[in-house]
Amino acid sequence: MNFLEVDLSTSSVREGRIEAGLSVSYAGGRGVTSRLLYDSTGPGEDALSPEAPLFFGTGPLTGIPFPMAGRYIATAKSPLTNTIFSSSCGGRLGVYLKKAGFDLLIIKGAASSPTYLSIEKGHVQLHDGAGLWGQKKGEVKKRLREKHGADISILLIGRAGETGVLFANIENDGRYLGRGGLGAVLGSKNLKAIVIKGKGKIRAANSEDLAFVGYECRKWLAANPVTSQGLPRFGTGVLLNFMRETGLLSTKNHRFPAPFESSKISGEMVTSSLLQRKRACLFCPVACGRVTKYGDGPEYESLWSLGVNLSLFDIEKVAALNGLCNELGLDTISTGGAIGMALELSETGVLGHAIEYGDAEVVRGLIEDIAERRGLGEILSLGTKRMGVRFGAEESGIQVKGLELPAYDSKGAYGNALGYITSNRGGCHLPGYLIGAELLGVPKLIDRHGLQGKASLLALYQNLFAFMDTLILCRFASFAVPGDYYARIASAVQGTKITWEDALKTGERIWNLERLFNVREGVEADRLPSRCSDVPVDEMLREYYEVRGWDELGVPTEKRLKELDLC
Amino acid sequence: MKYILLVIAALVILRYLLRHKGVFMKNMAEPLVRDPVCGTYVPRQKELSLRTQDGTLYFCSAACRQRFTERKR
Repeated sequence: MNFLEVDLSTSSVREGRIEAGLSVSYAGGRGVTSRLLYDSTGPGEDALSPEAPLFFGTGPLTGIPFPMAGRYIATAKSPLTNTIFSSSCGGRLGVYLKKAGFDLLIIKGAASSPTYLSIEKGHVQLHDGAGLWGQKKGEVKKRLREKHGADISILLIGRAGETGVLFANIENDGRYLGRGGLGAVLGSKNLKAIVIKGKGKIRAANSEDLAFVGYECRKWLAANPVTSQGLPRFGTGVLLNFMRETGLLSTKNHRFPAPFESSKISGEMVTSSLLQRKRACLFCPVACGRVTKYGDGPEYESLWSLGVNLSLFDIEKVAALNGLCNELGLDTISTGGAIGMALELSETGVLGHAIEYGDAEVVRGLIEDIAERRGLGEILSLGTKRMGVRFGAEESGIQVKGLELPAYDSKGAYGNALGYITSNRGGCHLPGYLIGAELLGVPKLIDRHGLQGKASLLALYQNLFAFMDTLILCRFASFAVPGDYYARIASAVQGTKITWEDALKTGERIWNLERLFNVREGVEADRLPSRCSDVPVDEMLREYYEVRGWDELGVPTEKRLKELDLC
Repeated sequence: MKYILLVIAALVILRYLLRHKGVFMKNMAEPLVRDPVCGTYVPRQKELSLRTQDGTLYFCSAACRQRFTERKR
């Protein structure tokens, strides 16, 4: 794997090749970047210090016209959760990086003044970015295109990344590295944007075999109702009505079931009243992205966090707030979580501000204040965990390890709740996504309020998805493509036999490595917010540790680490 | 002429080896080792290691290494 390392402190660039052993043990993407982060970060290092590195990693499929594989991974220590944090994105940076001859981009150090980076025609250059700092994203993109041409991939942060909001995101060609505050990491380095142009050719080891495997995957995607109908027609918002009717949608900071009027802001409503066009990531036949007059989205999570969660049921207003978050570079889930908590604290008299649910203008003002880190927004910009400590109201912070919970109420699906507390990046549904099995019947419908067997099923999915993140395939592929087929895909692209057991072992190795990182950082115990304490996770958690081969505190044992060739 | 061709061939092979040197180095990532003080697993970093009679020990931080040497005294 070829890497490009840019040290912003010394304005120096280094190119090289990483050990082949690393790509054998960790395959690519999330695995390789996690190991590099583990090795290059000391315990307790500040996620926003100049030394903190940020990795952009590609996988063996990146750049090959394979369905749902035009993606890359960014990995860093999260300033919001202090955990290891990998995020997958469908922007074009990964493909262009590979076309420019690199599998991995490492950003370290911090520039003394606003800067942007360009990689084009074999030249790596740092430019003065002072004129871009504080500008609207549209203006920044326009200026960069004027200077570097139209056929470029632009990765950039918004105002929230510049000011250091702990849940600032990164945009890349209308797709987002949304969660965990990776935008604040770039902002702390004074790096406003990265521009990449790549023209090289990318070839797979066994292109004939890969073409056949790709053909089979396309057939599965076309035959599956979620990937061929639900997501293409209505986007991820198609989940909203279904989740409300199955009791997984809540309102007013996870306190009450969502009302019927939530359907006014469903994916169907976005399609019928706002949709201008669909957006697909490179090589994706699904095209779940939506573009409206307010920009990208809103996705399912944003419809919930900025709409249902805040008692806002006007589709135009919710889409406008989503557009504002995109413009300012804010993760919509954490923004909605922080504002939802502030509104609850106002209602209960803890907060001295008279603000109420259901007022879009109040929400708009708070979003702007968060991005500028002024007034009440200064506290909200730290996330709900720190808000809870500041206001003495920890029970109102609906987060796990500092990451605000997404749009699936823990009480509605117990395996998903176990996924939240064991996720290596904090309260997130994506690392294990048992919603597929518990609600959508993928691969098979299981009792969502059952406890038995959930731990082993979750561990299996966490390992599988960690492996998928090395190839780097979109999570939505798992709706249609059978789990064991990913080993076949890996074999075809790598040109070497990779079994299902190899794939799961690689995924488990990554999962344990991430866990070791969090143990080293002293990340808090695996537990749900007190508001969700009626979810019976203790029994499942004990079983989960046993399945994982960890001790009773959830620390990986030496025996297990040896089995995984980690020590 | 023969020697010139041999030199060119040697240079081409050398260039290939240098470009792909990682391939010839290892086929598995370096295992982590346990810090004997705090118990966390760390990569083998020379600057945070200590040679002892029982072999080389590795530490997560200078503080852990210092704590270890103080304990030994």
